[in-house]
Amino acid sequence: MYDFYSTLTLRRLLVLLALSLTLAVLFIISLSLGTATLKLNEALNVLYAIFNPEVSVNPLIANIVFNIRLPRVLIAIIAGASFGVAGTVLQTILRNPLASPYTMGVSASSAFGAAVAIILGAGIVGWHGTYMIYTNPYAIVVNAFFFAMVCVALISALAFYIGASPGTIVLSGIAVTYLFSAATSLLQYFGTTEQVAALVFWIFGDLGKANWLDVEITLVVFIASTSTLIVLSKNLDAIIVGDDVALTLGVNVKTTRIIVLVLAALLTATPTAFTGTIGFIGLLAPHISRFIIGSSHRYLIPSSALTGAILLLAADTTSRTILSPLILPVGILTAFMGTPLFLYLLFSRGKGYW
Amino acid sequence: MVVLKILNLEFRYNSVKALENIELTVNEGELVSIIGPNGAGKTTLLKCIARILKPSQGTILLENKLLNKFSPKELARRISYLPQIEEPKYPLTVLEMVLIGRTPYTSFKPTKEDLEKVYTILKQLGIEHLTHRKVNELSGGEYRKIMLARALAQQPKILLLDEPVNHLDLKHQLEVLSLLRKLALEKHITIIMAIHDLNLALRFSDKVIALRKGKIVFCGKPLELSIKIIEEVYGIKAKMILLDDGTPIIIPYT
Repeated sequence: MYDFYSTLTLRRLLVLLALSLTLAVLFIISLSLGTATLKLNEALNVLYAIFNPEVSVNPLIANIVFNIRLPRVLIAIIAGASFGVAGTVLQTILRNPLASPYTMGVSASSAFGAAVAIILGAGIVGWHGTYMIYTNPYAIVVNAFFFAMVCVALISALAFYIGASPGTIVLSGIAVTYLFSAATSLLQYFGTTEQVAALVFWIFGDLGKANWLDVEITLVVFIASTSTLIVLSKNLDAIIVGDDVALTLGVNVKTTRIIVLVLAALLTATPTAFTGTIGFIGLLAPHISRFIIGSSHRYLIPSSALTGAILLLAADTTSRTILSPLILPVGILTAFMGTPLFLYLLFSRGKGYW
Repeated sequence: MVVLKILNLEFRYNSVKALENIELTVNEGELVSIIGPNGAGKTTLLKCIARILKPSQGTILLENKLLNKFSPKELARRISYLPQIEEPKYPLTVLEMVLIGRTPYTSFKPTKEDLEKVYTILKQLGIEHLTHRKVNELSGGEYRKIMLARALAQQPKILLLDEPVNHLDLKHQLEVLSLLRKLALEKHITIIMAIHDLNLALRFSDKVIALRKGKIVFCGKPLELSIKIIEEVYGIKAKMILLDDGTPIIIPYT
């Protein structure tokens, strides 16, 4: 019994270690790959030089690694991890295997926010005129984030005041998605060709837009939200058994559900605002993690973060290199690489997985 | 010693009265069965005692203290609840599932003491061989026992069970009820269960409560329950036979 429990714990820690190592290796590889392919030790040298100014590096290589690749690679890691964590906790509190950040309407509402900025030229931080995307790119970011949070606030309020069941929350998320999609289509219908093209490109999702400030903001949100969620993991475990039982276990189900909804929204809306909509990671990473580490949230949350980071980084590195110098939108690659993997896992476990 | 006292309890779902004028006293270590047809209010009564539902009127006293005065954690250490329907969904091991019952005692990670408690309970229920299995791969009866183990891991003073022997075959039904009987006798755990099988209810309980349309129509010892009350509560015709050892058996006919 104790042996079994310690073996279980040890196995899970080893899985987390293996995932971390995979991510570290992938990190170095993706830093060196790109239009200008570097040697692995050249990329490593630049990293080393950041912490140790006495090391001399080729300024051209340093520029490529530090200013172009590093922000992109880091945002891929943080965004992937954020989507993974958000998907996991949403699936738990909604008790639904189909739940992901995007079933909560986050993608549709942030796309709408971007459409308002790009096509109407209206940011919630002011009027920017029709060409604002060239003058103030942050208007799109703020708009996308704002509308995503409005959408989630709407759904959370419903959950809190009406005491809506998980099924109702999922359905209202889907309804809100349709509403925002329709509103976005309406704006597209009246937009010019250039505006629509800019919006479509935003919706594809692109990690190349990220700068160091974006990386810092997403990182802070990720660390704050994820550590809170890990602290709540005991409550999340209890909610697995059902709301009634969780209540009798002393868990405040309603409050936990609202906190988790809001944190998951932050975890999704923040990277999405900077990168555009990148789907599927939030659905894929939690399921892969449940396969390999089980449903105990103390381990599941960190492992979904790592899995999400690995998936998005792998997809982005492929999208940068497969047709180099052409860079494909990463959203396309996540679906092409993720779907076969997901279906394989699903069918290899038979009918009894969920 | 009186552990639970209910006075003039009323519960409404919107405007429909589900429970009305419920008066009930339960002593420590008693095994109480709640019988009655579907929709009579058995589950609602259990949920009011578990504080899952808030009564629209009346008082519930637990250990002579108002039920509302307990903090969630305090209450979780006194009352545990096993609902009627629970679906195994997530790939958790049996050990982890039962450990969830330790939630009111643990802070972040289960301790050695938690593991010991869980193991004792799994052994008591004769299911320690399932420890490492995934809950979503178990049979219905096995899953039911795991859920009971989870409720017991909470170390409750009062155990509320909604149809505890549903999905169990005859042998396991007897096993589980004998175990509950033993827990009540030896550990002084008070057990209140909703149960459909009248013969099992009469055989194992100290006290039987019959509900009909949200009202208590009978409350007393199993042997005091007359066939007339059964016929009235369920709207059927029935016969009662006494076995040699005095156990009453109820046989319904059209």
